[in-house]
Amino acid sequence: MITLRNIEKFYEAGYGRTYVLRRITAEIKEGEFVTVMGPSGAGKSTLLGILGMLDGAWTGEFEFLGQAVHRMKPKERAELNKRYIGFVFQSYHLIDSLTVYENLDIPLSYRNVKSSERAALVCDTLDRFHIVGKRDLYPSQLSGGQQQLVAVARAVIANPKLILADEPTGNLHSSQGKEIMELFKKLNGEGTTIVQVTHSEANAAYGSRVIQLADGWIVGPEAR
Amino acid sequence: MHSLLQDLRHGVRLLGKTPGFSATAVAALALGIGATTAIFSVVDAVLLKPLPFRDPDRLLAVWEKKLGQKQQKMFVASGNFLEWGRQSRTLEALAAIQETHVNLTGGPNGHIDPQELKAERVTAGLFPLLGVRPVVGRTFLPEEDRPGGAPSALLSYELWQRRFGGDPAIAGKAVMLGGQSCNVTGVLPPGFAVVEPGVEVWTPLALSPGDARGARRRILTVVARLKHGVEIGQARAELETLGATLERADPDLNQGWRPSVFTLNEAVRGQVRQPLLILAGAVSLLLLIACANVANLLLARGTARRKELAVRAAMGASRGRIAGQLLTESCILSLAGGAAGLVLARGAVSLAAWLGPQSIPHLGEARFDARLFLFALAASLATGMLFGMAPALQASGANLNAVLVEAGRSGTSGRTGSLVRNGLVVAEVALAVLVLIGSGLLMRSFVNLRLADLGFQKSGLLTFRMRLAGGRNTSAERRAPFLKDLLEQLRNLPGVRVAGLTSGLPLNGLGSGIAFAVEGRQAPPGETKTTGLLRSVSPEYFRAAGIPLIAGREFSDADDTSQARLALIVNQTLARRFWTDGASPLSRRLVLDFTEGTKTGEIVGVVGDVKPDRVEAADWPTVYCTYAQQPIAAVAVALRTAGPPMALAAPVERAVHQLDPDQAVADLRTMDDVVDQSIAGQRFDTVLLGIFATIAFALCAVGIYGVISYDVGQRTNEIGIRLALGAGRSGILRLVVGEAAGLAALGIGLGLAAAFALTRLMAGMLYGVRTNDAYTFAGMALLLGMVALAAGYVPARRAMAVDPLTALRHE
Repeated sequence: MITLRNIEKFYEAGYGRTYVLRRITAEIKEGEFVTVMGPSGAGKSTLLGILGMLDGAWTGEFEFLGQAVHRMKPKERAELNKRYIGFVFQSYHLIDSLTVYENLDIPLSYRNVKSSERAALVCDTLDRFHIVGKRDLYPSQLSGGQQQLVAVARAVIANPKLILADEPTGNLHSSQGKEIMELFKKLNGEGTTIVQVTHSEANAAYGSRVIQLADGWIVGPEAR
Repeated sequence: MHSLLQDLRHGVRLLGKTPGFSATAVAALALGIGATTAIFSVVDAVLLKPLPFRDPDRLLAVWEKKLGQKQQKMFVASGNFLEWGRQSRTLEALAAIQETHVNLTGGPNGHIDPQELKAERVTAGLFPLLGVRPVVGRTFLPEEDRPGGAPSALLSYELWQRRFGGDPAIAGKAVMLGGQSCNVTGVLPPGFAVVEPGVEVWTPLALSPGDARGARRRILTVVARLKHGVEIGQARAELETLGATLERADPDLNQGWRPSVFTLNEAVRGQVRQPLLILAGAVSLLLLIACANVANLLLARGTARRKELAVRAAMGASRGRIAGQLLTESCILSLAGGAAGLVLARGAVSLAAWLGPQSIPHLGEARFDARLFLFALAASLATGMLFGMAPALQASGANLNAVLVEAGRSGTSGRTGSLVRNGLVVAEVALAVLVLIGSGLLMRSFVNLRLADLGFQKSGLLTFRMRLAGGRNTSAERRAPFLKDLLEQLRNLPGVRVAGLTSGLPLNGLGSGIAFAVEGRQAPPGETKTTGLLRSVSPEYFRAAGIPLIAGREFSDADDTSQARLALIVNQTLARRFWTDGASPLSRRLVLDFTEGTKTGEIVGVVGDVKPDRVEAADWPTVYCTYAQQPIAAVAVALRTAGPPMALAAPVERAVHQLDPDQAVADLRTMDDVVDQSIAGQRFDTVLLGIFATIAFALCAVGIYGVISYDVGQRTNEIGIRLALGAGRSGILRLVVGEAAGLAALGIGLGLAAAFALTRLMAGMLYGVRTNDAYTFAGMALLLGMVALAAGYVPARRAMAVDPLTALRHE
């Protein structure tokens, strides 16, 4: 699904460059549950942002579903993101001025789904995630776990092939975190590819493979 | 369409969730749009709308001027008017107007309550020249405009409605004007005026070309139309030449006199042009300040919503989609501000038209102008769109992740955003300083006007005017005895301390002028005689008006007879002009050019100068004689009262009507009112500019508060770190307030520099204060500086109260 070759990201700083990612080469197959781990500043979130087409300032080769992302214009990358990718953030990043229903509706409206279809999809998702009763509440009226649940629901509502999760349980209690990870496991079992960034070994255990990052390099068995 | 509805719904909800932001932005826009539309509607009606005449750009107003004197609009001698008409090749037609007053004492159905009317005697050709048709009847025929012609009158639309019930059959009916039965030939259109506003009746001028004495009287305003293809410069040059020709032909009349040519537009509007343009400029600055305020609010809010917009982009929103959403929200805000501004503008225009001074021509015709409103609304929409959509430019793919990642951690706001916001605040402060200084200068000028020494004691003085023409006291022989009786009656009224009369009340206009020379002295070079003001007064007038006697004596009863030797009193300006070496003018003799011939009089006294026309105008050399010596028809009575002057209004009118039931009493008011009326224009300008300055002040304070408050919110983490590292609370206070002070200082500096350059445009509007008055500049700078510090202090207090632990966990 994903092929990375010599992906690098740096910032010009003073007389030199500060590298965030160095010669990242990796492959992720469809249906995998991959965990990216490493200490703070290793470049995990940056890598996830590149995979999610949220960051276009990098060098190297990136193929997604056989398409050369490195040769695409930003608009084309955004289209790929819309069609295939869902993102879950550590800080949930729900839109505070929208209800739960509207937060779920937002990704569909950006994908030009007809309003009747959108209503059906949102209702199905609310039902699937057992949050029908919360549909008219605002994020500030939900607990952290509930907010993250809504965030996951929002990430999957457009039926993405790939879910990217950046420390999805970082702001949750352990029991809430376990709930979210079980959900990811279930989604992965249904065929969705999942790439998560986490510090937690317990969370990493849900995945099938770990990519270790340190100082922008892939280290350990995955290193090439 | 669904997206638009979605964005509209969301936009309205968002505005409701942030009432402080919404109310501030809407209020700022409403004030900016409303004030701008109102003032420009007034400017349009007063200055820009073409005069309601045929080809108004081809019309001229012509007066005469004395070379070497400042006054450019002296009345024209009727002989000169006739000569211009005969000899001019550049003017298609000329007409003449003599300003006067006349008593209306009877209508078609008989006697009516007498009323003095502002009137004009005009040549019959005036109305065809202007291209004006009456709404009822016809204008004057040439045979009516000859000596001995049938007495005729044209009524103003307002008089026709008010006194004659809008009778559609009024044409052909008779009214009593000046004791004479006049045939009403017609009614002129609503609001008709040539140069003087408020005229209610027109009668034929009936000039006699053979009247040599009448030809020398300077009593006319001339209106002319340029011939086709002729420019005003050519007409000016021709009339200048004609003036020189007439000077050679009759040096006694025309020595040093020349025609003074203006476009009619300039003549009608010239005096109010500068103040209105200053007001228009000020209100434009106000709109800019309001837009800067709103821009800042939108930018701050946009920055606060970076995270939300990045999330939307991460969810798949294109830049265009986000921009559309922000555009919708900005439009909602601008339209809400526009709606409130519309209400404000309509109210303000109506208020200005109703309360504004009568000296502003066509002010009553000011109407809310939709074009101007749309322009102001467009400006605010443009501001909203530009600054409301700025965040959309930031929500692009390259830095989304950075925004999303940073939003999960603490951090400080972007530098570029801060620079733009700070720049806007500096601009707001600079513009506010400009408006404040303009307002401050006008206020000081107005205070100077209020406190100016007018030359008389205005408090406790009741005044009224009468025109002794047409009634039983029309003849010169009857006037003086009638007025003596009247003064006696008025003196005996309880509460009246002194009663006097004059032919020209202070601040009521220049009135009669007279050419004179000092006996035995050579005239100044280029002059045969000096022109000054002539006042006929009763012996007690100076005491009644509180005009100080500087030297010599006042008039006595012995002076106040037609047989007495001509005794004269002069004012200090005249005395200083001719007796510069400190010599006394007492017992000196003046040779005066009266209409009926030359007379010589002896100076028996010198009194203080009195403002004849406007408070800010220069003093005129003035000659006083007793009323019996010059019993002119138009007089004013001044009563020094013991108690409130207006308490005597009814008894005064009764006293007049006891002696003559047909005698109209006009302008019965206190001298305080007369003074207030004379500075009504300046008051109007000062109040308006004061309102704009207050609004600018408030917007500025809100702008500074908003920026500093926002920055404190963004820097909570930084403040927490500083406190955790050992910074004292007072250090935090200095940090935050220092930022406000820095912005304010920069803005004030720029504003002062701009004010220094621009306030010279106000030179003609100021009295007793210079355009770069240091006190005003310093005072306003200090005031705004203090407000800026106060606006920064409030959020600074909040910053001081930050708990470091909470702040370091702040997201």
